[in-house]
Amino acid sequence: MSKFKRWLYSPRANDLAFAFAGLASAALLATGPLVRRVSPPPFEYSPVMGFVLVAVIVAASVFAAFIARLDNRNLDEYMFLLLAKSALIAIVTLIVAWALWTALFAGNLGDLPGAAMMPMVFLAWSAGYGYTRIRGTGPEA
Amino acid sequence: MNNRLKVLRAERNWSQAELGVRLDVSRQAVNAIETGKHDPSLPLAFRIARLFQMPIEEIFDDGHA
Repeated sequence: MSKFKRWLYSPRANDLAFAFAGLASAALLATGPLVRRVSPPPFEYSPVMGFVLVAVIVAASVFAAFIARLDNRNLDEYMFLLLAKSALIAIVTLIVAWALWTALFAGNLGDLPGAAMMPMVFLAWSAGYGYTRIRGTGPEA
Repeated sequence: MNNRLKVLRAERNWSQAELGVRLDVSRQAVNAIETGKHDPSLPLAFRIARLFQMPIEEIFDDGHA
């Protein structure tokens, strides 16, 4: 493994990447440039749109599985489990946050813009990474 | 799961980084195992046992012995 590749898959590089992604995402969500962006008109649902969406998701999942296999090969087991557990925390965080927003805040503050999805994903993943880094990967953590 | 990794490493005057190189894992992984924040997989536990030339159960204790 080359020196650069070793650094790329090191805990320090992951710490830096998640710290940057978390801070940048929090800043984007808090300061609102995504919300001020002019929104495109809403799409009319059509079967073609649904078919394309399903196809894109299936293709993206195949790509994601390939990336996960690369990570599994190159990261040590602690780092891979750290990333996987923090991703699980992020998914649950997103589902709960979206549901809470819709139930409690959407009436007064408006629906979440679609452009907020990416920073929400990165902020939730970074928070999960930080929690898992501090508490550990075990079942008691 | 409790383990004696820190003691065994100290007996050999190895740093966490040095042990990490010998086990082909990161220093952070060694630290996480020593502090009980990560339970190693079976293959890694075997590598640790081979390195210290001891049975796995003399290094790791799952509390059911």
